[in-house]
Amino acid sequence: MYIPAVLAIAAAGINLTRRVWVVNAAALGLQYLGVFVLLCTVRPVSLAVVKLLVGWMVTLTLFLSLITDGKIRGAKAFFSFSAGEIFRLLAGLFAVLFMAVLLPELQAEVFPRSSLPLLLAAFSLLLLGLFQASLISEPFYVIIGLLTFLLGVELLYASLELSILLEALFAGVNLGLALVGAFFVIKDAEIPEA
Amino acid sequence: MSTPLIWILFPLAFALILIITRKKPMLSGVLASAISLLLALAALLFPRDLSFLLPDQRLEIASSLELFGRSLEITGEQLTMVGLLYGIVFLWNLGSLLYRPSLWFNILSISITALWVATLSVNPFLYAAVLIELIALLSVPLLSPRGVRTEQGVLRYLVFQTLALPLILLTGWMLAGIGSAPSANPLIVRSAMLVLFGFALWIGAFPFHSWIPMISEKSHPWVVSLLLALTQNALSVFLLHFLDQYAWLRNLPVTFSGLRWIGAIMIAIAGLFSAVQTNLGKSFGYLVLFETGYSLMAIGLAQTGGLNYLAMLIVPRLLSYAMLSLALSALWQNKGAHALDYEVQEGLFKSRPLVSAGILIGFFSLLGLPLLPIFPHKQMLWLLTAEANPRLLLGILVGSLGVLVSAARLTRLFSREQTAGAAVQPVREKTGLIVLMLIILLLMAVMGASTQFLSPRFLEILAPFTQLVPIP
Repeated sequence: MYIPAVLAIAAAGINLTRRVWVVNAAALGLQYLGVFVLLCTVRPVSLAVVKLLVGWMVTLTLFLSLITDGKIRGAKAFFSFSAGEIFRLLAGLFAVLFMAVLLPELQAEVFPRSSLPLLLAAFSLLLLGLFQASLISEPFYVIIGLLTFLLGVELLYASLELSILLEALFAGVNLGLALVGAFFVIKDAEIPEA
Repeated sequence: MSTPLIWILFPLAFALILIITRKKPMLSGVLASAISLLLALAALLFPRDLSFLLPDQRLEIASSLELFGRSLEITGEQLTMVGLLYGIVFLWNLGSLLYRPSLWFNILSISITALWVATLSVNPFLYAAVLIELIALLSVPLLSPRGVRTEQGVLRYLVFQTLALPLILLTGWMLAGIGSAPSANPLIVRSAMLVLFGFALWIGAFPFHSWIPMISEKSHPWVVSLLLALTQNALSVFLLHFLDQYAWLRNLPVTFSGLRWIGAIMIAIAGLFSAVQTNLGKSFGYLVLFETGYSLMAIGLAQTGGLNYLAMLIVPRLLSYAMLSLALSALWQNKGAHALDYEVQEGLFKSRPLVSAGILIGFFSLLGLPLLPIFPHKQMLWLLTAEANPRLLLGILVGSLGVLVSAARLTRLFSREQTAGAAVQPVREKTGLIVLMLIILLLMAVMGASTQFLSPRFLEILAPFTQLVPIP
């Protein structure tokens, strides 16, 4: 179960580091795929697939809003990193490693019923999402950061308790965040640059 | 028929219908005002046992509604709070007839109020965390409408509201089944920290307050005042739910004293920052924080009767917010955020006497000046604070001096001659503005003259909290 966890973490890492919208949208979609596989270990597939569908709808909403405004940029020079990107990559990497070291103890003490890969993915998404939402001021990336953070919360909570109402509310919040993100992108694009 | 159906689902459905009328502002405003007034009056007048005696039968209204295995429950005792929330949205929708802050104002204000009612009635109530996140999302189009670049304050608001969500949800999970464990249990201390940290993020307690002045500087004052008034009052009552339900949280020695200290610090910081502002919108944001400090102080003084003043402060405070934000909206109209900068307020006494008077009345009322409606309740809180811990009075003193300096600066600015040298032409105010301000002023004057007018009715807000407010 470490493969989907690593997939989700890597996708969140790409979103934290890179500033190429088409790549970010793809990474967000992959992130939801990784989380879906992890969720299948604690939920019936029929319920876990809802999260995947909602996640992909969220991704599509953001992607379409970028296309509408012609803001999708090609993934040029994908392997050249700016100083800011290297800083964010290292910060994210250290945070995940730090979390991985502390996790067995945290699992034994607080979350004994949750599996280690799931906890690793959940807390890494929480941390990376938090970094993204706090290190960047561009609305599109703040929204992706919040979606990532929320995905971590949902994954963690899914391993603790099952509530259909909560699942429905989370789906509403995810879609709401996507709509707000799309609103920000379109609204800001309408305003001419000073 | 059930109470959640009347006060949650029906308003949400009505808000959806209102979408049709959004391009007819007057119609939309009138409909939204009428329905919110109806809901407020119904909540205030509804029998507390939720039953009506008809000539041949007894009609009982259910208090709960099942939803996906969980429930929404509005008991008769909660109806005063529900009435208050719809009363707030009525007043603000009425004001929106004068200043149309957004095409979506009427629709979203009713939806947000219905969600706040759902927040206070969902069982288990920790799920309210997700509803509060939805409220934050619905607030975005109001705070950052089209045509205005997305500001950092709105993003920060979203981030803080989202961060609070897991803290509250995890607390619920951690506490399942440990209702009455000893207060020294590390799990309890951990949970208490999570809950209070989550609340601090939600309510904008120091040092997580930065989003409030940021949005109040850049967003329409009428929108900001509505959202902050709803948030402040609903969250204060939500905190009472926690304290009432969880004996472990109530019994922790640091809970109430911690709330008192946070309250005093917020009062001091908000007052000091208010004194050095150069924008009226930001000053208003700090005044809201100042009042949040008083709310936390009142909750911290729950064991010595502080909650009574929390409840009785609500209406006078709302009137002060309404007065102040009406005046700020009059300045904002057609000119935008820069119309609230101090540098353009010179000579406002001459050009807009009503608006400048409204601003100063709002400031002095929130400060707690004698003869104004907040004074008697704040005075009691000062006395209770002095009895609990006299050192806290220093925070209150510093904060109050800060607000006083702020009001003095404004008075000087308003009375100063305009430097441009041109003759000041008095602006003709809208009749609606004059009427609304006079009604608010009249209510404030009556409440200031008699503490028994209207405010004691709102003590009923405390009725559901039997552990915090023992039944006499």
